[in-house]
Amino acid sequence: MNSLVVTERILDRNYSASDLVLNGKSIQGTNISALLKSTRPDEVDLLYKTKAQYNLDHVESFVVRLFDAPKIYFPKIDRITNRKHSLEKFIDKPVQDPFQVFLQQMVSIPDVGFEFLFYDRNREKIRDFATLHDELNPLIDYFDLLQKNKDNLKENPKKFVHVNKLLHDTFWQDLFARQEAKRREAMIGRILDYERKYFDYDNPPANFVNSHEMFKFAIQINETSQAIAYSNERECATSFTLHSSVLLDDDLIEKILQYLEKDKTKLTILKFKELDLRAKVDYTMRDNFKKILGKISEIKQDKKNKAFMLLEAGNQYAVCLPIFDLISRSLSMIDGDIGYGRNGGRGQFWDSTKNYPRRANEMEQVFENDPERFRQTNEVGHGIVSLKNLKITPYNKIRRQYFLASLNQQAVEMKRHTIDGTSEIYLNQILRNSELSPLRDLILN
Amino acid sequence: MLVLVWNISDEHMSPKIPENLKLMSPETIKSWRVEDREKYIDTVLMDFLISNSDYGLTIDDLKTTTSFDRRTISSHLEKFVARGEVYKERRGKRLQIFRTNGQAVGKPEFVKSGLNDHYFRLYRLENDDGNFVYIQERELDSFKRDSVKGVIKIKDEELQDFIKKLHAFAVRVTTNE
Repeated sequence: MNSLVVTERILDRNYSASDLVLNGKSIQGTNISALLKSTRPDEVDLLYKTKAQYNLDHVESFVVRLFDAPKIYFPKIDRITNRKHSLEKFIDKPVQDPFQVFLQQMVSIPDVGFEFLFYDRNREKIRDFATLHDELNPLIDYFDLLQKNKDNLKENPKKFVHVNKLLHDTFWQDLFARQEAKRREAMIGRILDYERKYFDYDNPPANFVNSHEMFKFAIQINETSQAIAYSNERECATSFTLHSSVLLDDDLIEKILQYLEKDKTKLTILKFKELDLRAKVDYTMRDNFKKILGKISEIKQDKKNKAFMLLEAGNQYAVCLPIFDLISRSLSMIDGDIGYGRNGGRGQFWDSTKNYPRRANEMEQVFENDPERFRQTNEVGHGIVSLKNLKITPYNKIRRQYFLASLNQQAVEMKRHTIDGTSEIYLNQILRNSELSPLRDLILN
Repeated sequence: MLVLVWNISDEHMSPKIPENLKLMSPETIKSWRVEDREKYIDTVLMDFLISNSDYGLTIDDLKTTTSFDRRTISSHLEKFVARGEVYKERRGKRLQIFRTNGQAVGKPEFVKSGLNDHYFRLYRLENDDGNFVYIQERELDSFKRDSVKGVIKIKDEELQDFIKKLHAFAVRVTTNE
């Protein structure tokens, strides 16, 4: 069974660091889960090589979105499985593939990414994924309907924003109508089939939550998924993908907190879309986000075997570091940063002091100003001779590795400070001199 | 006057609820895919039987606790009985009590069967009839859904003889080839 066990939890007032065993794999908290989505460079391969070269103690998990997986992840798993079978038959001995050894140590978590039924981006990829099985036909019907409406409103794209939300919500309302139950459950069942086959833990294909009604649907999908997983001797998380506007709705936040409190699953996965508490000065949002952090901290103090994961943590990652057990960020930092036009193919580079991605030319200058200081920031930085002279391909690989090493270093330090009882001081230190300083009011004290 | 009293504890009167149970209403599971529904009912019933292995359960007990349809429960239990995973005991004319075939001790071992996606699970089993080596043949489908395809149960006393005969048989047939 792919069970999750919290083997050790170190508490430091509101904060904690936990070690977990997930599907037989030991990982340290807070664990940094890289979201792998690109084939150029091949991010699965890059993570494998980064682990081999630098180890990075707190990078022992990764996330792959289900619709990206047929391209970037499934073929790798299928290839090693097939090769292993044929080799073992041939030499009549167990075969150890280095990539397989890597997978045996890394925890893989799927992300269904159903928020992209709402957002335009990645819809094509979901559509491609949906064509793999008849059970996923409701998605194709939905995309067809969406496209028809988009075509009709070509002249008035602003109107489509409203139609988009209406169609999204109607899609789920229809699926939850009595006569559509079979189609809905078949879709859930098939998605869980993929998760069971390729990943260490099941993550329910819950809908995007932007209202009370959508939250109700998400609960139902979670509970169905957990029951199906249970019958396959699997554990399944509770998962909610929340639109940032949910943080403006005190009643809905209250419902979510109550649900998190009574929920018996061992892993809770949260994701917030369109949330940047650094940029948006909205105190209701910040207060409610803080309430969520506080509730998780409280639950972790009471229930020793509960773990929490945050997907697409974005600028909230630092304040979440001593709260969540696993934190995921996209390996390429923020979307759209590849910038083939503006930055000549050189994506943004992580500034480990500002805790923010910066344009390539800016970071090249930072490097030139004091190369030695830059090299001391982390193990990847240590090996950089010159940022400016790196060609585009190695540059785009190294910026990802550097980002991962920076997050790993903070996770290592945070754990050390939690043991020493100084996690709050360290968190304040991360935030103080960085672009994330407006988030200091989210420190729990 | 002599009064005979059945020694049935309270625990038997109300079945123990399995620890990790995720019980869904029959109404909900009705809309699931057949393979998900069948696997789910199997798991729930087996978990109830394991949790109540001391006294066993009747179909009524299972109907009350799970709300599954009586015929559904009955057909799943018959499947367990046919596979040797569950014993059916008759009490009187009508009462049938179902009990798991014993307590599996320790962790099972896994052995390849040579057929793709088929494997064996070897258990140590203890029950009122004695101690056994209990072998399940299991199959993983293309989505790693695991199911029991058949079982063999050999009593400790017969084990040496069984292995000896199996070995002799294997030598004979493979040498002939």
